Formats: sequence, C-alpha cells, structure tokens
Amino acid sequence: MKAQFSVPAVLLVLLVLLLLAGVMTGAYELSGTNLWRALTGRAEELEQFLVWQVRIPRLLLAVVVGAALAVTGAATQGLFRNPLAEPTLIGVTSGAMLFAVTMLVLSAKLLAGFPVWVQQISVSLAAFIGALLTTGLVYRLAAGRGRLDVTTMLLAGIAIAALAGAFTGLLVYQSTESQLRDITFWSLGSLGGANWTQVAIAGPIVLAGGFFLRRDALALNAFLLGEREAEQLGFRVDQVKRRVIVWVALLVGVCISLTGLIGFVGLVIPHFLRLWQGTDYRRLLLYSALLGASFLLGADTLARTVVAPAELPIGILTALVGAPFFMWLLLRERRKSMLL
Amino acid sequence: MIRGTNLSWRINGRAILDSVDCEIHPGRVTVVMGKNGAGKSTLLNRLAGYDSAGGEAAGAVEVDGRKLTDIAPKELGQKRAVLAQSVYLGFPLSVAEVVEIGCYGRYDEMTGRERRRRVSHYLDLLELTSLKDRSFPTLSGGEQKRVLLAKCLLQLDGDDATTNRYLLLDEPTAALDVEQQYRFVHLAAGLARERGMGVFAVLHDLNLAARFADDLIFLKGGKLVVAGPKASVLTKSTIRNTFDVDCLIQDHPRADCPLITTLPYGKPNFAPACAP
Amino acid sequence: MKFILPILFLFAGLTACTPADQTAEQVPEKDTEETAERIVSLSGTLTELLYDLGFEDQLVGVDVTSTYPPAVNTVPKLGHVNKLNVEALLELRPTLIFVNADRSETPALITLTAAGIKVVAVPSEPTLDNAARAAKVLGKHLQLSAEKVADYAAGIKVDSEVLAETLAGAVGDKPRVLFIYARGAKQLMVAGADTEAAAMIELAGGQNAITSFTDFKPLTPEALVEAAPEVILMFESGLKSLDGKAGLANVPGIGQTPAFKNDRIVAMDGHYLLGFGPRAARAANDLAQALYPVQTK
Repeated sequence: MKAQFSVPAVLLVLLVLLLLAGVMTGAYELSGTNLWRALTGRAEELEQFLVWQVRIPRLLLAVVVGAALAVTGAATQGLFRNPLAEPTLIGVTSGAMLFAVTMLVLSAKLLAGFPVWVQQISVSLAAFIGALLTTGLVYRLAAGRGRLDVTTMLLAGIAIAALAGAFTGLLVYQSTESQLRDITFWSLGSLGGANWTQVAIAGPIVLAGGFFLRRDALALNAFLLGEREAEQLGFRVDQVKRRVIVWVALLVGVCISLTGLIGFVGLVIPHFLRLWQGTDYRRLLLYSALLGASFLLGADTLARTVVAPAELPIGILTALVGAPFFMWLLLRERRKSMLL
Repeated sequence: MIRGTNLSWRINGRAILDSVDCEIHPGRVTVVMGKNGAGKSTLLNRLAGYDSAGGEAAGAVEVDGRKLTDIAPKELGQKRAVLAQSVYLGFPLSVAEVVEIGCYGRYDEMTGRERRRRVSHYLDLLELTSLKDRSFPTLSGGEQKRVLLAKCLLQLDGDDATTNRYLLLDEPTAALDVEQQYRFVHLAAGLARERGMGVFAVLHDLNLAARFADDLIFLKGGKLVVAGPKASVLTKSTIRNTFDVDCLIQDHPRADCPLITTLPYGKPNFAPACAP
Repeated sequence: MKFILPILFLFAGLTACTPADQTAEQVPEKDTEETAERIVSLSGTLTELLYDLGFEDQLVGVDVTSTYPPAVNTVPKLGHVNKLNVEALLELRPTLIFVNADRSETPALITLTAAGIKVVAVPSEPTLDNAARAAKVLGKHLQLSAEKVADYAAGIKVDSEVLAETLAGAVGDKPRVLFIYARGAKQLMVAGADTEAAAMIELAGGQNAITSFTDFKPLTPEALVEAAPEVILMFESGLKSLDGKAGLANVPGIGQTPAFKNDRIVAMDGHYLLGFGPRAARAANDLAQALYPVQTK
C-alpha cells in the first residue's frame, strides 16, 4: 500500500462533499433552512419538488455517469494496453451518435403519430442500440477465427468511427434548422432533464458493469504484460476481452443515450489516478469510479451555476478542465522522462 | 517430462515447424538452437501450449503423461512458466507488482500477507529487493529479465512437491551484455539442478549451450537435425549442417565441457580484422 | 396587484400614440378581485399578445425570442425554449406557462408539468389569423371573456383589410422573392417551400423564388442563378451580420440576381416579419408595398 491514509476514504469524502455542494447550489436560490426542510420533507411543495425531483436525480445521474465513463476508460486502456485509449476507439461513441442523429432527423416523420415523449425516448434508445451495434461490428471485423487482435480492433474502430461520422455529417447537412439545434445540443452533452427514471435505468446497469469489470481486474493486470503472459498464467484471454468489450459498450451506450456525448472523463481520470496510485486494476477501477463521479458532479455543478440561469453544455466543461490537465501531464512526464 | 510429438506449424502452406519430436526432462537443461527462422521460438510456443490461431498446428504435447489440451489453463500455468523474449509494458507497474502477477493463478488460495511474503522471497532470491518499488519500464534489460524470472518462479512456486515444474526461456540472453548473459543462464541452469525444474531455453551462443545444457536440440528450416545429450549432439558435422559454419571443438581449459570456436566458411565478402 | 388599473390606463395612453392604438383601446379593465397569475411566455408572439391583452404586469419571465414591445426588456429572460433551466424557471414561481405547441414537450417543460405548474401549448400557424386564434387560447386560461377576445380579433382584422386593398391595387406580375437567412457570411441559408418565410411571401402577394425543395438549405451560387429572384428578403439582423448591402454584394452569385441589380433588397425586423403575431397583417402589408411599389390609387 503506497499511501498512509486510505485513498478510497479520501475519494469517498470528496464525493460526499461535492454531493452536498451540488444539492446546495443551483439557479434557484435555496436557503440552508429551506434546504434542510426540503430534505426532511417539511418544505413547501415547490421547493420539495425542486430538491427531490430536479436536483437530487441530476446529482445522482452525474455520479452514475461520471463513474461509468471513468471505469470504462480505465478498462479500455487495459484492453488496448495503451494509456491514451478511450471507449471511442471501439466505435461506441460514433455509433451512438450516428443512430441518435438518424433518429433525431427521422423521428418527426417515422413517429409522427406518437406523442413527443416517445420521440425523445426513441433518440435515447437509438443511441443505445447504435452503441452496441457498432461495437459488435468492430468486434466482428477484428475477431478473425476466434482470436481477437487488439490492434486490428483499434484500426477497425477508427475506420467505423470515420464511416459513422461521414453518415452523421450527411444527415446533419440535410437536417432542418431545429434538428440541427437538437443535434448540436445532444452532441455537447447535458445532464439537464435528469429524472428518477433515468437514474433507475442507469444506476443498476453501471453498478453491474463495475462489479463484473472488477472481477476481471487480475486478468487486466496480467494483460498489461502482454496477451501471451496472461494466457500462460491461465486466463482465458479471448473471453476476458469479450467481456470487457461488452460491458464497456453497455455502460457507455447507456450513458450516451441519457446524457449525450461527454468526453475526457474516461481519459483523464484513470490517467491521473495511475500517476498517483499506480495501475493495479484491483484498486484502479474503484478509484476511477469514485473520482469520475466527483469530477462529473463538480463539472455539472459549475455548468449550471457559472452562467446562471443559462447552462453550459457539460462536454465543454470537461474539455476545458481535461485538455489543459492532459497537457500538464504530458509536459510533466516529458520532464521526468518517464515512459508513457 | 514434457513430450512433444510430431509438432508442426504451417502458415499459408509454408511449414515453419515440421514434424519435430522433442522432450524436456525435469532436472535437466534442454537447449534448442538453430539459425534464425529455424523455428526455435515456434517450438517453444507449441510446447508452452500457446493458442495457435493464425496458422495450422499439428502434433501433440504431453505434460507428465497428460495431454496438454486436457489440462485446465490455470493448472497448466502452475506447471510451466514462459519467460518471454521481450515484454513491452506501457504502464508504470512496480517491480513488486510485476512479480506478484506470477501468483495470479493461485490468487484465491492465498491471503494478501501470504502473497507479499512470497513476492519478497523471490525478490530476495534474485537480488531485486532494492529495486522493488522501482517502475519496471525504467529498469535495464538485465534487471527486467531478472524481474520476469522472479515472476516465473513465483508462478511455479507451489506446495505440491510431487509435481514437476518446467521453465521455458525464449531467447533469455537477448539484449543482455556479456556478463549478464553468463550469469543469467548460470542462474537458470542452477534452478534445474537445485530445484529439479525442467529448463528449456532458446539460445544463440554455442558456448553457453556447451557450458550449461544437458540436452541439445538442433533445428534447421523447421525440421529436426539432431536431438539428444550434449556430447552426442555437439560434433563438427552437426554444427556444420545446422549452422552452415565450420568449427573447432576442443576441451574447455577450465570447465568440464567442450569449447567451440567457429571458423569462417566459404569466401566471406569482407576481410576480417585479423587473419585466421 | 393594485397597480393594474393605473398601469392599464398608462398603457392605453402610451399606445394611443402608436398605430396599434385600435387594439389598445379594446382592452378592458381587469377585475382586481381575481388572483393574479405569474405568467411565463416562451414565444415572442405570445409575449406580444400578452402585452396587447393587458397582462404584462403578470409576466414574470420571457424567452429569448420575446423582443416586442421594447418594455419587455425589463422582464427576466430565460434563454432559448430548447435550453430552459428548470431551476431558473422554478425560482420565478410561475403559475402559468405559455409555449408554442411544437415546443411544448421538451424535458424541462415536462418536469415543470410534473411540478404542478400549468403549461399551455398554443398552436401556431403561419397565417394572418394566427394571433386571433392564439388570443382565444390565452383568453380561455386568463379568464378573459369571449366578447373581449372577439373585439381584439376584430381590431386585428382591420389590418387584413388594408392588406387586401394594397394587393388589389397592385400593378405588375407576382415577383419572385427569395428569403435569405444570414448569420454572418459563413452561414447563409435560403427558404424553400413549406417555410414560414414562404408563407409570408405568398400572403404579401409574392411567390417564393425557390420551389424545388422544402425547408432551409445552404445558399449556393447555382441556386441563386436558377432562382433569379426579383426581390431579396432578409431579416434586419441578417443583413447587418453581412455588413449591409455592401457585404451582401460579396456573396458569390448575388450580384447576378435581378434583385440585386435593381436594388430590390428588403430588410425587416425578424419578429415583426415572421412572428405571425398581432401585427402580422401589417407586416404583410409593408412587404406587399415593397413588392408592388406601383399602385393604382
């Protein structure tokens, strides 16, 4: 153990503090006493609604999505044995984007008879299906004769992402102005509109994903030395790869379908934790979940207060924090001449 | 004993390994040699039981009388360990963490304290204790090999004294300097003698083989040239056939083994620095 | 809410000076015993109607398209209807939210409905009687008597008659009008069929220069040459974003259009032109007069 203090405890405390900060801030000015009344069920109806139906679901969704993105980022980096890997590389995000945009453009015609809420759910569903389908396609391309070659998967992922991007571009080109607005908005990511249903859907899936990915922590550690190394120790490498890909696709698909594209979390959080606490996946996955949740929570709280009453799309905030941090990391590592 | 029968490996019809029989005996050092592309590493991979997708494999491997394919992967992992020729680690794992990976096959059988104890034991054995918190990618080639050897030994470490253990070394001397080469092979050979392990190594240096091997296997073009105890294999004609070089075989002045000096063969394209 | 009476009188007095005085005089005094609502309007047209119908003092929040009348600038702005901040809305404690029917089920509004706030979807059509119909819906939720709404509608109708006269006296063929939507020189779109711009052009007696596609599409020089518009219609803000007519001249293909050669470029306020609010007929009339400068009188 490297640290004298308990790292998970620190991360947990950070998360709890951010949750408290999150529930206290917002465009609606809520005094401390009123907040306490709302939390204990004695406030007036409107403030009760605000705290329990607007703020808390949103905070919980940020926790769930932040954890999912960080954990899948860490897992993908283990799968590709590359610290710069992200779920985007297996085609998940571009597939989700393509299907979501398709549904945004077509739903008015296809689902004209249905109420608007059906049209909106259809976009989320489409994103989810798109994420799984493209990942499956990339997997098919890369897994020849049962053996999954990670390099081929990387190339297939890039190719499919480019193709999906081209189709998305075509759709965007001939979309109407209002559709274009929806598409842009969706692609920047947002936690607005969070409700308990979304939390109820995403929560269990992310928990399950975290649980099952953690079970493969040893395999992921061994995998870092090379596939053959993991194989000779007795791990069924192809099965592990398949499991990791499936869970990554599921988790990322769910998150994208609910909140749109949010970048950088999966890249920056595991990387920072690696520098601080090492790569051991027995700890990295849990730490990533906790820190990822805190990160997105903090970013979302900023997003909805910095330009209140308007909201910044959260993808912008994560990039604003993520990119400079990443540059700092690169410079630092170059100075230390440590291998990346 | 690990016995390979009729081992072959074909890619696109071309035979990289062609019907090779060989054996690895516990307590003995078996060295396989040949020119580049002779199929040495391929033989090692087949004996190790690595997944042979990407080509056509033929032949069978038996480990202590059981078919290799019948042995569960985790159990196999505790019977034989492979020291890879090179390991690229893109992440900062510490030396202790790398060695610990060796016991992943038996992870649930040990407590954390037990794991740490065994890792320390092998770090100590290979004089790595001072390096234990260093980041693996920052070590020199020789140090990295020792770390990986410690990992392999931990992998093979077991309470069951009746099981045979086998250590397969794929070009262990690659990227090592002269002193490191000698010391490493000496260390590996010692494992065979002291612990009764079956050691199998791919080497390039005839004299290292002459010094430390018990049995030798010569391969050429994927086919077996000759295999057997060292004395019977190391002859001028076998060396000529396998390596396309002439040599002088003398008795080593200090050790009880042959000393092999290679001589130029045919007309070289350039003149050597000193005349033969 | 005891300021309603004096404010209404003030409003009536102020608007007496503008051409909208006919509408203002129709507004009755509010019954001060009714509880006042806290109204949020998420449409520029609906906001304008609320002012006309005298409910501006109950207006607590408007969206970004609510720009008329100028007095609305003092009302808290809530941003775009697609990007509503639920908390900001809740903070205003609205009791009634008016929104266009096609934007009525965004996630934010669904949440607000769940909070028990009444969200009223008002249908919106690009026709001259849109404002009258919307006023009816507003009136129903604001307890305005049907009579008063009818009086208001009648007031608006007068403008339609003026438009009809202008069209009757128009000399010349129906001009081809091209509507260009501009947000800087890099974002230029033209209006095809089935757009509000096309509807307004037709109401003003013109024909849309583009018939081959629907909705907005990016502007291309070939499209310009093919359409050969005789009049170019733009938002004032759009023309400004191009730095006026000089900037417009730099757009490839514009210089070759009959519209540009004859300097027939019409710029009007965006909300006035395409809001299809109470001044819609007046806007159509202004446009008609620009399209048919020669009138038989």
